[in-house]
Formats: sequence, C-alpha cells, structure tokens
Amino acid sequence: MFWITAGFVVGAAANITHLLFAGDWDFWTDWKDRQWWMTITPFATIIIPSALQYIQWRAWRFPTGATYTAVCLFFCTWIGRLVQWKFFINMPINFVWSATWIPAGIITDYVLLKSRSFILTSLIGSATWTMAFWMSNYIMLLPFLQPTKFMDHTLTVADVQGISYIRAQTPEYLRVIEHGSLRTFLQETQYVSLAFGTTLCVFGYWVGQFIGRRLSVWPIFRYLKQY
Amino acid sequence: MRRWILMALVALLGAAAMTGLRTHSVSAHGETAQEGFVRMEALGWWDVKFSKSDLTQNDNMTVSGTAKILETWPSNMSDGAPKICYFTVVEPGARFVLVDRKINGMPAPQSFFCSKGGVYNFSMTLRARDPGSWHVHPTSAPAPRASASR
Repeated sequence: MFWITAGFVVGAAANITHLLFAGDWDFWTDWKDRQWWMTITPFATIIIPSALQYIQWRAWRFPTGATYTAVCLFFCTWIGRLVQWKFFINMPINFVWSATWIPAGIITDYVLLKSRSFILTSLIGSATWTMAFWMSNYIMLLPFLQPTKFMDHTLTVADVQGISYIRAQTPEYLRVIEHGSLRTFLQETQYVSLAFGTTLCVFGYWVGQFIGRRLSVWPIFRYLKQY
Repeated sequence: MRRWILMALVALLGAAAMTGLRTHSVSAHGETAQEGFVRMEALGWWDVKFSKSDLTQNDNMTVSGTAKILETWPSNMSDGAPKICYFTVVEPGARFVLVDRKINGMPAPQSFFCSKGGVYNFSMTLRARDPGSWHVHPTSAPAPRASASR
C-alpha cells in the first residue's frame, strides 16, 4: 500500500525532472531526434530511478527502484498526455505519445542485482539505461521516420505530423535538433549521441544517489540525528 | 470516515471543474494583450480572406492574404530585422489540419527566408477536424534572433 501511495510522488518527481531537462524533445514525434532526445533524456530520467534504487536496495535489498520509477513515470506521463494533450486540445495520441523507460529500468535493476554495487551500476547501468531507452523507443519511433512527399518536399511522417497538427507559434526552427556536425562521424549520429548520453547518464546517476542518500525518506532519521 | 467522504467530494468537484474547463469555443487568444509596438509596427496585413466560415468535418478552407514586414519593425525584436519567418494560423488546439501552405506561390511547409520591407502573399489550406466554433486567423512567427537559423 505504501508503494502504491508513493507511486504518485515518485512518478511526479520523475516526470517533473524529465520535463525540466528534456520535456520538449519528448512532446512530439518530430522533435524526438537522434541527437538531443537520446542525449538529454536518459540523463534527466536516471536521476529519480537512481534515488529509488538506493532507497529500495538499502532498505529491503529490492533491486526494483528503476523499474518502479519507470512504471510510475509511465502512468503519470500518460495521465498528462491523455488529459492535457488529447482531452483539452485534441492532439492525436500518435503524435504526442510518451517515451517508455520500463525496459531500461528492468535492465538497470538487473545490473544492480548482479553487481550489488552502486558504482558498477552507475557505470554499466547508465550505459544500459541509455541504450535500452533508445532501442525500446526506436521501435515506436521508426514508423514515423519513413519518408513521404508533402507540399512538394520530401519529409518524414513525423515532420508531416508536426506541420499538419498546428502548434501555434511553434515554428520548426524553435527545435534545437540534429545539427549537422555529428554526421561527420560516418553519418551515424545516434551512436555518438548514445556514447555522450551514457557519459551524461553516469553523472545523472550520482545526482540521484545524492538525492537518495541525503534527501530521501528512509535515512531521514539518521540525517536528523546527525544534525 | 467523514474525512474520507469529504476528500472524495473535493476530488469529484475538482474532476468536474477540470471537465468543465475543456475548450469548446474560444473567441480570442490574447491578441490585444500584446505590446503596442508588436501590434502596430511589426507586420501589416491586408486582403486577408477566408474561403468559408461554415464547414463540415473534412471540408477544406483556404486562408489567404498579404503580409508586409514593415520598415518600422521594432529594433528590440529579431535583432531589428527578421531573417527567418513562419506563417501559420492560430487556433485553440488541433481543430484544423494544415494540408497546404504557399508563400508567394511556392510550397512552404516550414519557415522561409524573409527581410524587412518584404511583401509576402500567403495561402494556407486547412481541413476541418474537430466540431465546434473556433477562432482561427493567420499569424507570423519570425525567428527571435537572426542567429536562430538552422
């Protein structure tokens, strides 16, 4: 019952962290790019799972913190998408669908279970978090990256969605996506971004560990005694 | 027990209020709240025409007209001279789908290069999607800085 109740707090915390750092890239299919979306999002979304991993692992030896946060984030994000995007302004869901972190959470928790070390989880788990995030979401994104002809231009289906479903006062130049320089690496933007995203994710993991160790509920008594 | 009933009632009231907030008709979306220099010195619009005002779902409507980037363009916007412009419509949510947009007769799915003093004929074809009475009109969104180019 405690974890069901806490789900709203955890989901909201994860969602807010995600929206603050990487919300824009996750809002629309045409902003889900191969450079910024996968670089920033894993960093932004590992913070709260890392804190929860610390709490659940230290308290009960449950290697479930990342999965638990990912499931909470899933429900909270979808409440937002359905109420705000679909119900209020009637954007089609296949344009504003949310990414998923559940596969990434399961694999990262598995790393903690096997390694029993936060340091190793921060190094290996951050990589699996980033890779699994990309791979699990790429399956959903792929149909929207197919080329099509629209207004005499060759665009992706995602671009057509972004143009057709009008986002008032949100021209396409507002998105900071896919600048060309990374294409010099054999034109494989996503692999460079994944490597960079993994490095950022390690940093994000330790931000989460700091939150878990200093600000979480479980060690609060120790924290209060100390001060 | 009484406390739980009270909380449930408050939650129900909140949900009811949220439901009532859904937009069915919007008569404006803050045009007159803009600063005077934005409204009077940035763009001039003329001959703006709507091909229809009553549509059934999937009907097309064309919004056409001419806009000029005025020589009085304020110095505090887009570094005093917009380089990238974007013509679109404002509407309360995705009530219409944009199926075609032409600037000076050329297809323009996204933004285009523009300059101070430039005159642009625009035509945007919209397809009716969501039943209701909607406040729709053309608008422009020049890049805030000249360096914002792709």
